[in-house]
Amino acid sequence: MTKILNLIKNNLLFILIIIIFSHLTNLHYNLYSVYLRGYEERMIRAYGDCGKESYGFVKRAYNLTNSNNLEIINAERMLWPNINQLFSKFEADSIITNNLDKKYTVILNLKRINKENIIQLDNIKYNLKDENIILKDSNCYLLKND
Amino acid sequence: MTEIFQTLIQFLVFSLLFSFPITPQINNIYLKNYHFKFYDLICINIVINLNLYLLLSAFKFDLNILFMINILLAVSFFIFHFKKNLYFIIKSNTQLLILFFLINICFYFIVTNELKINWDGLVQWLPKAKQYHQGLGSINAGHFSYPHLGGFLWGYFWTNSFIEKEYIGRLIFIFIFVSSIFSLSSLLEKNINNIFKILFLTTIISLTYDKFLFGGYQDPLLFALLLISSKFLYLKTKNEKKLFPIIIFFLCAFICPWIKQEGFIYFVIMSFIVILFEKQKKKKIYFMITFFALTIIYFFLKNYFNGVSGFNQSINLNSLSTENFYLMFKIFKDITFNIFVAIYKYPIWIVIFIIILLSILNKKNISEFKYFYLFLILNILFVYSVVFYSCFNIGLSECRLIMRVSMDRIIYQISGFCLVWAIIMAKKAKLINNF
Repeated sequence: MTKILNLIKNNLLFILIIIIFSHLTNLHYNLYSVYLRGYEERMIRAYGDCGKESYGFVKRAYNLTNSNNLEIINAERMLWPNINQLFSKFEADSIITNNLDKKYTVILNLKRINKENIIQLDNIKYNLKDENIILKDSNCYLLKND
Repeated sequence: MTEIFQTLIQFLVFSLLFSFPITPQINNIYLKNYHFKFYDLICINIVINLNLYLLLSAFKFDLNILFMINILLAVSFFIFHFKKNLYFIIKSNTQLLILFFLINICFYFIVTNELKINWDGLVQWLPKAKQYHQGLGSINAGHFSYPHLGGFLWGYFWTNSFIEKEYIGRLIFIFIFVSSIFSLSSLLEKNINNIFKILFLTTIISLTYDKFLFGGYQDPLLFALLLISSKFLYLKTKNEKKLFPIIIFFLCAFICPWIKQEGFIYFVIMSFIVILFEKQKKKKIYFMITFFALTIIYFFLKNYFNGVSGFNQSINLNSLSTENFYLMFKIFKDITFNIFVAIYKYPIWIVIFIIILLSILNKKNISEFKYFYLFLILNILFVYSVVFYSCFNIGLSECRLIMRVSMDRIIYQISGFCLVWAIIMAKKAKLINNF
């Protein structure tokens, strides 16, 4: 016991520095958070469910379609990067843009839709009629292409 | 709990992998004269291993098998003379060792908890990592002219983890960053108080750590490699007759172009400085041959990996004319402003400038730091010329965006090189000798 006490006494400043550093880098909270929350929950916290990069919605879209590479359009593309790289899979000897699944489109953070339910993004028109919508969550849509 | 365990294990994996091939025992036998510390050995091994990874990344094979061979070799090298190897590590400095572990773990858990890959990391660098993770080898995913080595590292450790999550691969960037900064401790005097060393290292780490950049960006890796290059350049100046520091210097400088495109400029500038200031004619010729050989290898490999030898912008000299004088002035003003913003963003520069100022006021021999001054001047010229060139190519408005989002990172990378010389300046000016 005396040995331990002496060890602490001799290294008190060092122990303090360690505690301060770990506190400033949020080590205790981060450990707790990793222990408490699963990977998927932390991903949704980081990228949003339907909002920002919309990890949660895109994940659901991939699960529903079983696609390898969905086309994802973020209406707020100036604010958030395209999250598709987290889900898509390369096919041997091809670059990602060449093997997009043409059957579906995911549209994220869509704010305005006209009365005809037609929107134009990247010079392409999308019809948001009910039969085309496979999945909808607030401003996020998974569409089946015509 | 598995993720916590994996994150902790990862530190051991990195430490073990990068204690090979120059183990403490090999250091004791062949490199005794350099008085390398544990962190120096890690940095040397990082440089050697990155060169090996660069060669291996050209081939398509199972990363699990490569990892098994890698870890088996590292373990057997360590177990061979186990006691001596362990003794070298333990006797080095227990408090620093604990701090090294703790800082790594603190930063690892930031990544593990927050998980976020930021813009360029997601769009440009993740595809490079993914191509290796999927076992496709070098298919040149992402931006075609961007180098792949950082992506290879990311993909390599991502694949070789129990939980196979992407973020495990990114922890290697933290390990290399922290190791490079800890290697600075050997530049300090032996008799300096341990608590000062600890405060010194934590201060430098706090001033250079940028959480955003560990979201998939390659800049901390380039920062660390410039720091290691700079340190071995300094060791070369201290040990003129010995070859080892200059070999590690060239190996480290050669890795820079494989991390980011601007790394090639750093490689050229650093090699130029070494060749220029070499006094012996014979050595000068050897260095020039080495530089040209490495440049040829670089372009050959770049052509092999990317299918092109050039970079992603071509020079448009037609747009340069005297009529553009006003535009040139505007660009010059913007660049200067953004450099100041970058210095403000990365306050390590403020520390470096204060040390330079005090060193000059102390009237210390400036020629001793010619490597540093020339590197700084050439890099500032590089920053101005590359932004001018981009502005003429893509127009001022888009160029302004590039200045705003990427110039600070270039300034950050350069600070790795300058930091080493600033510490030496501070030492010579007796600013850090009395603790």
